[in-house]
Amino acid sequence: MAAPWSFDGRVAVVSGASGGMGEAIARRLAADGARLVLMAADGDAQALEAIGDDLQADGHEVRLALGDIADPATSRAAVHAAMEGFGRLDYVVNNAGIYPERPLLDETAEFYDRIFAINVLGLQSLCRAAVPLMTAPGGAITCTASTCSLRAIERYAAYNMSKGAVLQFARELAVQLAPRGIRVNIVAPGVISAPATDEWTRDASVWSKQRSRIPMDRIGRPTEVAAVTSFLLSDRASYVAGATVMVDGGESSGWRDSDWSVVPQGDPAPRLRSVGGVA
Amino acid sequence: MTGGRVAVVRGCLDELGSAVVRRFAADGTALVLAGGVDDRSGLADLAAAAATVVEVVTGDLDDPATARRAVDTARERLGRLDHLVDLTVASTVDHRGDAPPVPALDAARAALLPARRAYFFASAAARGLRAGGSIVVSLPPSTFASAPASAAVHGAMTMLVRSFALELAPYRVRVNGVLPGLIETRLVEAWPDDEPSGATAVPLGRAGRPDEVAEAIAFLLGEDASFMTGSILPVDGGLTATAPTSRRPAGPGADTRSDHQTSTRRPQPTRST
Repeated sequence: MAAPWSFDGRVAVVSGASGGMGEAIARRLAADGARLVLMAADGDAQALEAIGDDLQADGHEVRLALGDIADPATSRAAVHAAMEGFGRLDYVVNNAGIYPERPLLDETAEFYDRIFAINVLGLQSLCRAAVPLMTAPGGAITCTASTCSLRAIERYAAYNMSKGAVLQFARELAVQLAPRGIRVNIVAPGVISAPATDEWTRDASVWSKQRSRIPMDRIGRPTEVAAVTSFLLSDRASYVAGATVMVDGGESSGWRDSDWSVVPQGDPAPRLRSVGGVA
Repeated sequence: MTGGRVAVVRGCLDELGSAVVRRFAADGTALVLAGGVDDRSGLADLAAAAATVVEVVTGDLDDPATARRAVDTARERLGRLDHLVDLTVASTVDHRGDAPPVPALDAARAALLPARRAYFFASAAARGLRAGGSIVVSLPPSTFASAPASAAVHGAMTMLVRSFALELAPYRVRVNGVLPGLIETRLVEAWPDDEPSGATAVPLGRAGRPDEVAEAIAFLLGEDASFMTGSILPVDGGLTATAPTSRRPAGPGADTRSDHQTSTRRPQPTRST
């Protein structure tokens, strides 16, 4: 759905854009009128090029920047592509991240370091490269955190720590950059559709357990994360800075302790009547 | 903390660490004091003065083997391990007025080291604690340091507490955090009282004493907190209950577009552990 505003040729760098939420964000920002520099790891070059071709076929202006985001040179190249290609840089979407699963007692220093190199230090490198050249006032940054920035999930200890770091880094960066007119906000997705999570919904025994922790009773769509990201970047969010916006179907607010196969759906009135409540 | 127990304490070379050691000694808890290579003589002095059995383990804190050695020392030399206390304090790397808001990679990585070291010690303890044991880590403040890379340590430590609490609960190991506010140490004595984040900003009107934090740590470690895990307890005289008063001195800030920061920062406490 096109937004009722336009980014009007302003320029966004999006990391981790070769699939999932990053791809959805790229497509949404393009549809909303932004020119884009899309980043992805070398191994995802084919997917990123396909997205770039697709967007260009629709008349959007897109540049690609491939490389390991753990290397600051990758971020410098992406920022350079924006300045050389478009002459400006307005928005940065820090979306790149990895979420390998491993039981706590099996984690190693190398495992921890790789997660932090990408999720935390890679994000900082992109911010460091971008901030001095960004439009100010008027620029905006989003950092993709996670519900795991606030509440732990099992078998993701190092990942949880990395996302906790992202959240607090972004909040403090928001404080630092607000006087310059650059807004920084945090998007915290919950369970979003991806090959791994789609498996959950296909397996009834897994999904019957997982769904009770998501009040909206479904996993989220990448486009729903993209919509929030687009809003936070846009001038419609002109007084929103340092905010953490959960995009999690209510997951972080509570869970439904229910056997969904017997929960009455729809009108609650029959249940109220059956227990003597108001009709 | 009761007699006969054994604890590993990391990062104890300041007033808070000394208070924690005194608190343990009062209960007859035997200790392994762990620190970096440069901490050896300081820890030896602390051990000599402590009124309890103490082993000292020093080594490269950026190598997980040092944490494992501290845990092994507790188990092999002192017979068991009941508690880990990790007194992490983030070093604040870029408080100067002209510092860029995001440091270069090496500095950013260095700023995150306190969390990494705490992770190594908590991981080693997770493998060596008795069932029913407990871990307490101290957290650096989230915003006081005014350096994003240091705030990241607070976020990582917050999730260390929650992740380890969740995953060690089946072993009946509890993991909690303590969040000290302004505490009387040599570092803060140099601060003028009229600084916005000085004692006047604390609702209770004073800095805390190290023994007040040590008492909270002892509480979280012990049986009185037997249903607490994954909690982070502020010990700050009300500081986190309120919004800070103006963090910026009056004056600068009118032209903000060319500046990385709008305020000069007071001297910050720095510590490498």
